[in-house]
This record gives sequence, C-alpha cells and structure tokens, in this order.
Amino acid sequence: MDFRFTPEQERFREEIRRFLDEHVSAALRQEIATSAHTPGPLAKAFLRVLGAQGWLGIGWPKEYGGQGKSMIEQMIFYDELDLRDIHYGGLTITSLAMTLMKVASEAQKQAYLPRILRGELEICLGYTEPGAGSDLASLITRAEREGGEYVITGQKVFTTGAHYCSHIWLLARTDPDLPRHKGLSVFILPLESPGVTVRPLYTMGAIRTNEVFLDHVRVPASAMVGAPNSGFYTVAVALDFERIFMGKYARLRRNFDELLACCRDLRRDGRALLEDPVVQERLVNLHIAIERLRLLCFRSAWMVDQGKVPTAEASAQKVLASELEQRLTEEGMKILGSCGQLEYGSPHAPMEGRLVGAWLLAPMMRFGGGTNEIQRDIIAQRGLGLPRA
Amino acid sequence: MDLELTQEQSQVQDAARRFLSRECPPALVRRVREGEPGEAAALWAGMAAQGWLALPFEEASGGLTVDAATLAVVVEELGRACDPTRFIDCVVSCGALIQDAGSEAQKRCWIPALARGELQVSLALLESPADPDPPRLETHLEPQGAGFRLNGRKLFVECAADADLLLVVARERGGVRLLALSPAAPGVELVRLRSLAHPHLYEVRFHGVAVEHEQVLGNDLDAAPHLRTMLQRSAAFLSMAAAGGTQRVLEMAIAHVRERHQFGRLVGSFQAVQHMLADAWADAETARLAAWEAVTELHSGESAECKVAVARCASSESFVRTCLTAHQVFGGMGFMWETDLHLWTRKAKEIEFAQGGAAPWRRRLAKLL
Repeated sequence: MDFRFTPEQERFREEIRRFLDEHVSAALRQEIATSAHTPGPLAKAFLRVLGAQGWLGIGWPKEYGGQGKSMIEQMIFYDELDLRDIHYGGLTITSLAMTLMKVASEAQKQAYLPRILRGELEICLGYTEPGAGSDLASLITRAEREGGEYVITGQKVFTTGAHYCSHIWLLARTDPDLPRHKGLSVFILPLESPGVTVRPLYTMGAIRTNEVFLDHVRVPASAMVGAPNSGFYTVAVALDFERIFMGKYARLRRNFDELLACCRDLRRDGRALLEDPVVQERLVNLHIAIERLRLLCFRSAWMVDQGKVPTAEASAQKVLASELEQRLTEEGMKILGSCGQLEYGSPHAPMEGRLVGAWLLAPMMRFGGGTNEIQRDIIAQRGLGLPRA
Repeated sequence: MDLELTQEQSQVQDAARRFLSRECPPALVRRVREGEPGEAAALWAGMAAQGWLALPFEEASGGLTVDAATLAVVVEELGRACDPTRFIDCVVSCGALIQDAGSEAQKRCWIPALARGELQVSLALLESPADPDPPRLETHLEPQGAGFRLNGRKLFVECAADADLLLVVARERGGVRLLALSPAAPGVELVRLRSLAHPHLYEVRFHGVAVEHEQVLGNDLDAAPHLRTMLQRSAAFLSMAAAGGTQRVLEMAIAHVRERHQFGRLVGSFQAVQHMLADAWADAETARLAAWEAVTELHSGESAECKVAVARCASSESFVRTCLTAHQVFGGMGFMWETDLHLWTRKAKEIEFAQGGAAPWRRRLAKLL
C-alpha cells in the first residue's frame, strides 16, 4: 500500500499549475464566474490552447495523438482544471472520443478525433427523452433507413451542451421489432443539420440545458457509430469510460477551502466563525467526508491503471460526490448564517456566491448521469452480487 | 501509488485469516466476553507462536522489525475476527512505549517476555470520566526515600486485574512520567467498571503506592512526546482494526440477505435492502482506505496527524454504522443473545471509545484545519 504520488507525478502537477497560473487570464476567470456553466468565447479559445499543448489527449493512446498518460495522472490534470472551473470538453474528451477509438469506422476516427484533440469539436449526449429517463431503453426517437441515409425523427430533452457543442451523439431506435434495448443505434451528427431545432431549458441551478427536436433529419448511413442495433452496447462502452469521471472531489475540496477561509474572516459573537465549536464540528465532518471521496477517486483511478474495471467504486464515487455536494453547500449556508443566501454579484455574498450556486445545482448532480438510486443498484448488484429485483 | 497489498502482505493476510478462523471463532470471543480475559490464553499463546506479539519491536529487543504495513495486515485481520485479546493495548500501545521510552535494561527485561506472550501489560492513561484530554494529570509521583509514592486514579484501564504490569502515566513535578507497576502491589485498588463495549474495564486507584526508580521508564525523561507518538500510532492501528471489523460485518449482512427469503423472494433482491448495503459498502471501503493511508503515512509529519485523525473518526463511525445497518438487515436474527452480530457491535463501540475515543482527534482536526 502506498498512497503517495511519485516525484514525477508531483512535477507533472506543478507543471500544470504553472501553466494555468500563467495562461488563465483575469478576463477568463471573470467569464467563468458569470457564464452559468456555458463556456463563453474565452473558455472556447482556452480549450484550443489546451489542445495546442496536447493536453486534451492526455489520456488518449499515443496512436491517436494522445499522451497515453495513466489514469492517476489524468486525475491530477482534471483536478487542477476543476479547481479553476476550466472547461476542458468534458466527456467529449474523456468518454466519447475513447468510444470512437473503440467502435468507430476509420473514416469516423479521421473525421472527428483530430478536431476533438485540437479543441475544435465538442459533442453533446442525446440520450434522454421526455418518456425515457432512467429507463433509457424505452426511448422512441426513430431512425429509419432510406437508401443510403437514415431519417431521424423524435425529441430529446436535458441535452446539456447542445447550444455550444457542434455535434450530438444520438441514441435512436433503428429496429422497433427487436427487444427494446436491442433495436437501438448511435449516430453522430452536426447540430446544424436541417431539421434539428435546439430550444433552451432554463433550470433552477442557473445551468442552461436544452430540448432537441429532430424532424426528418437526414444523415448518411456513415453517421452511424458502431454496428446497426448495437447502440446499447456503444452507450455502455461510453459509460464505462465516463464512469470514473462522474464523481470527482476537487471542486468539493475547493468549495470547502473557500468556506474555511470565510469562517476565518467572518465574525459572530466577537469571534471568528472558525472558533465556534459547533462550526468546527460541522467542518470536521465535511473534511472527513471529502477525504474519503478523494481516496475512493484514486482507488478507482489506480484500478483502471491496473486494467481493472472500477464498477462499484465509480458508482459509489458518484453517489458520495453528489450527496456531499448537497451536504457541503447546505451545511456551509447554515454555518455562514444570513449572508449564506447571497448570490453572485450581491453585496456581502461570500465565496462570490459559489456556495449558493452549487447548492442550487446539487439536485441535478444527484439525479443526473444515472440517478443515485441506479448507482446504488449497480453497487449492490454488480459490486456485492445481490440478485436483481 | 499502489493501492493493494504486496504479494508478501497478501500471504500474511491469508495466513492470519486461516489462523484466526481456526483459533478465534465467535464462540471464543463470546466466552472471553462473558467470562474472564484468561479464556483467551490459548489464543494469545498461539499469537505469540505466530510471532505476532514480536511484530512491532526491534530485533535487538527480541522483536521482528516488520514494517507498519505488515503489522496493519495482522491488525485488520484481528478486527475482522472480533479479536478478544489485548493486542492493541498491550503490544501496539504499551509495547511501543517501552520500546521508545524504556531504558536498555527495561527493554531487555520486558520486551522479550511480552513478545513471548508471558508478560501482559495494560495502559493506565485516562483519568476523567468525560474528558479524554485532561488539562493536567492528577495522578502524580512524589519523592519518598530512594523512590516515589504514587497517588491518584486511572479510568478505563483494560484487563487491569489480569495484567502483569500496568503502564501508568503520571505527573512528576512539571513533567510526564511513565511507570510500570503490578496491579497486585500494595496500595493499588481495582474497581470493576461495567461497559457495553469492553468486557473487562477497571478504575485503578493508587493510594501512596511505593514506586522504585527502576519502575520509571527511561531516565529523567519527559514522556509526553513518546505518549503523543504512541497515541497517533495506536489511533492508526485502531482504525485498521475497525476497518477489518466493518468489512466482516458487511460480509455477514450480505451473506444473510442472499439466503433469507421473504414474500417468496430473496431479501437481498429488495431495493431498500440493496441501497442500505450499497451505502454500507461505500462506507466500509472508504474507511479502509483512510485507515491504510494513515498507517502507511505515519511518519510524514503534520499531514500524518491529519490523516490519522480522519482515519480514526471515519473508521470508528463506519464500524458502528455498519453494525447498526446489519442489525436492521438481520432483524430479530441479529438481536438474539445467541447470534453473533452483537459481538461485533460491542467491539465497534469498544474501538470507538478506546484511548479516549475519536473526540480528541476531531478537536485536533479542527485545529489543523
């Protein structure tokens, strides 16, 4: 057992820090603080800067122009970006590109991977539909073959990123006669295709998501990723790549550290909040919980590097991270008292309103990316070997 | 980073698990709990024969000089087995104090005997019923003739009546001293405490007990730093034992719901049950990682203190919480006296309360933040 980073990994972290300190401008920081989780022009430009440095391919195999770094090193890299809320392309980089490498045609690889690597192309997920949330296999968006094309009609919802990504990774029904999870296929298509309409859905958590309407959208048959009717498998591959990134701890650590700083500065009853034993107790509990999550994150990353699949571990990461986000922000608001309610831009807002923002976003973390209930099913059934209900 | 046991450590783990499943069944744990510590004599002798009692000590003193990780593997297995012996108190805590603070003569006298299982030592540290961090030790040594007199009292001393030696923390003038004395010495009074957790706890009162110079550890030495080192180290190993116990209880609960049927289906197929156990698994897994990180980074300065504190709090809470989840899962079948689950539940509270419990570590963590 050894929990330490190697000197090389420590140097790598230093290198990233130096780079980010040097290249993340005050203007970019300002844009991030006000952009409600939508990357603005500066963030998009910075994505290309990361691409030019070769860092978007940090975990990609070398044959695809990546750096082939270990998962531990990738975690170090993404932690540093998360600590600064830097947009890095999310699962386009960590999951969909990796899935393309595994299942896509040579032409698709050529068409997408180099552009993704340069930070020029981002893909959003088109899975969820109004009638198909956790029960994804019940989706009804149809893709019908007509000669050398597919014609796609249907509706997607909670398509986060559809307003700033160029492409959509779409799961649609190609054969209604097969058992429901067997008749699905994945397509990749430009969001600018005729017949695609993206409409905003504004949320309580400030983050904008979208609904996407597909009205007789014609795509060449070559837009299909993987074999016909293998969509559920392709989605599972993508999920396996994504899994480990669903529950990360760096943002929690950052919010905790900022909360701690507030508790040093703010005074109540003639003393700093941090000197109040009740506050101390709450902070200690949060610190312990974040440490537990940190250990689990590196345990999962380490498993990936050993060629193991961290199934229960990754699901537990997602559950712990999302519930801890809710708890940290809730406790933080209680600790800070009246000013805990103040949002970004308000006088007296602690942590530039970040705590309030995260509190409002936290419900989404708990149900998004596979609800925590489904994650617990996965832990129990795939991790502990309990029988399906 | 390398987050699994080495091959050698895995072999130690396998051997320890085999040994304990043979020599330390729940029936023995129960006999010790319902009877006296002497019920575990054969197990203790077996542990000595395995070399476990020599693990933490330098070769020069008759020990085996293994690394902390190997000792941790054994302690984790002892935790799994609901170990009814005084291993952590006697070997990990008192043994380390003798090793660190004792004179050469004292080490020669006590450590080989301890490692052979022939000397049982209990730590007499705590004084206040409520506060594990007394601002000032009341138990004190006063010079008398060629030696000292000891007055005061200690609480929560494990197995005091069956110890060969008590290792007493006392004040002398401004400093802190460690001294070893027999619980049978004139002026020592033992009062049995009744605890839900540890079956053999005592209050020990000292009424002008005569203490010779040779009984005081080291020479003109302030024992406070040794005490701090020992408490940190022992907290890491208590975490390890808790992590082992937690895993075992979770396994028992899982095995139960994979066998028990209600409503014509396995209890383990109900989502409500699955989710309780999924949470318990995450709890157990993260507590174990925290304990391992604490043990492997014991010597890394301030960050070690932080990690030990996290491990101590996380693991003792998780152990208790997992036991309570298991009670819910087992229902009446875990509540009966004759079923074994409550042995671990009591062990969980024993570990939680040991050496003043997790509370001082929470306070330390608050300061370190």
